[in-house]
Amino acid sequence: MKLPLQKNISFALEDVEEIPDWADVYPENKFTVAKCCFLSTRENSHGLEISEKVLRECASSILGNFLVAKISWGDATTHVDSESIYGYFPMEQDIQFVEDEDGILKAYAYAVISKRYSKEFNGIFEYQNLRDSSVEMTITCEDDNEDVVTSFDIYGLTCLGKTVNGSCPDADIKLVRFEEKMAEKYFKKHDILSTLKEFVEERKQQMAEKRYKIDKSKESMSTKPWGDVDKTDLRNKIMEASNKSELVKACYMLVEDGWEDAPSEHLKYPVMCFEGDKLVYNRYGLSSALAYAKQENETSVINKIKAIYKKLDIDDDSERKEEKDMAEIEFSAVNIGDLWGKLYTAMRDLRHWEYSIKGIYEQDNQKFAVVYDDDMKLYRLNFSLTEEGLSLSDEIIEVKEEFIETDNMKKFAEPENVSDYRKENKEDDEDSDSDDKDEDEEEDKQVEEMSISELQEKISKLEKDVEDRDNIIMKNNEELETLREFKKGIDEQEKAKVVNSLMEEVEKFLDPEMMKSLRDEGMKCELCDMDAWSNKVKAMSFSAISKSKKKNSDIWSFSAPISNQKEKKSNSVWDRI
Amino acid sequence: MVIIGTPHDLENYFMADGDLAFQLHQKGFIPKYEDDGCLYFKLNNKLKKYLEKIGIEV
Repeated sequence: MKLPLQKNISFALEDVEEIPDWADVYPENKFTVAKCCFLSTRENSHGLEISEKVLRECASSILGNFLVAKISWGDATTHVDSESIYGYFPMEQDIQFVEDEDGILKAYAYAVISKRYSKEFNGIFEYQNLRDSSVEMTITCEDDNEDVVTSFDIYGLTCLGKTVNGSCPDADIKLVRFEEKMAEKYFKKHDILSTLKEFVEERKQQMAEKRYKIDKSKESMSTKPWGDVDKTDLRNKIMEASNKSELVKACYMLVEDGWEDAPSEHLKYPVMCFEGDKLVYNRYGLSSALAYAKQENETSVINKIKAIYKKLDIDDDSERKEEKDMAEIEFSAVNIGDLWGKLYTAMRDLRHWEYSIKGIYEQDNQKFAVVYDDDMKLYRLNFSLTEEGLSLSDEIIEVKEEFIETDNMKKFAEPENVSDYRKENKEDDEDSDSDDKDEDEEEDKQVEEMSISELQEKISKLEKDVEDRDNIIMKNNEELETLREFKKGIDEQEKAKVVNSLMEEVEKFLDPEMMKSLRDEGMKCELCDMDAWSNKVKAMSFSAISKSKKKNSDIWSFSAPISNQKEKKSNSVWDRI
Repeated sequence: MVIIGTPHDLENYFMADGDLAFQLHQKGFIPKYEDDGCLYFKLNNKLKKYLEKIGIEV
């Protein structure tokens, strides 16, 4: 019997197998080829006698059948029902019969194995390119001798694991064509993951190769509203372009160090926008940048923009006027009362009667009001505030939550007369004001109408009322005193009951002196403190009990040796005698 | 080699499948018959002893 370890092979030149020509139809990038000795005339473990004649006649029954295995824990196992097909014995071949020096005839066939679908199977040969094999076949035997095989029909060849041997000592499998590099190359090329990676790389490359042109001419200058230009999208597009450095310099008036790592922080004062694939100046972008630069006193930016104005031949006066008119009034420069008033008026002008102003905010230079309707639903109303005036957005968007102030969202303070801009409050205030006024007027009128005698009468009546009221209070005080006395008596009774009851319980544990002291203490306690007193008494009783037990244990320890002596009594009869 | 089918003298064989079949094969007991995933091992003294050792009563 062969041992698997003895089958270790080294890849010497003499081991190189000649691949039959028919194997060319099974391309090397798809198939490995295994050479299998599947039967021989050598004596097998079952004692079945397969003659040279029978072998030559029936060996071809393997063709068109399968190479199977059950792979578990990285190696083949044995014949089991869950074997999988990994290879195939092509019909194109002829069985090779080789007679060795001992006169034993061996039958060989080649199996082709898919590199793609039988990776697991091919994998087991990476470490050791040799396994035992075992055919699965039906046989017919001589009538009078079941050990003599007269014919056989092979259904498949099982690849066995390294730890098991086949019945036929010569039966084995080894791969004769497997070029790992080629297979890897093939799989890499055709693997879905690789395809996706390639796609991603290609796209990345395409994106990186994306270049945008810059058109700085006056003719190409865009006049679309600067508010409509998505500044984030503009920045992202520029950053993805292969000529981003060039674009950044043209588009942003202030480019700080580290702009490549944090473009949002270091690219400031954009003045251009995309028109198709071209980056062009935006008329209002320039105005806006100039206005902000002036506010921030960014001289370099102001100079740059002015140079652009000069180059583009933009009228400076009209620019100044426009700049003044168009520039959004910044947060800190807004007159609060004026803002609320203007907004309220603008809302009324647009017949937004149903809304009241809850708060006014600014986010990313966009001012907006949070308004509410009669159902207290909240809405957002964008508006812009320039020197020209306040213009409301056409759209009122319902919002679910109130806005909270953050770094980029500021809330305008409320003016003193904020209630004027809030419908309900205003109405309420109006109502209450008018009520107060009415009352005052009425009083004045009444006073005027009353005569002195009437007033005296009224005063005496009021004095009497006060006296009656004092009497009632006095009477109530007396009653209250009586009730307090009564309650005190009840409390004392209750207290005495609790004290007596508890003292009875602990009587046997405490000495009389302590009992007396605790009883007095208990009687002096308020009823609300009785629980605390009760706990104290119980604690002292427990302490007294513990001491008492200790004393008892001393007594028991004295009696213990007597019982121990009994236990140590010898079982020996002689000792007892 | 393994013969597809069941032995006609079943009493002389020990049938095993799954892990036990693989275990017996690893121990050098080569199955002679295979039928529907079950392997039939010729029941000799050596196999009986081994089965006894692993707590299988034949």
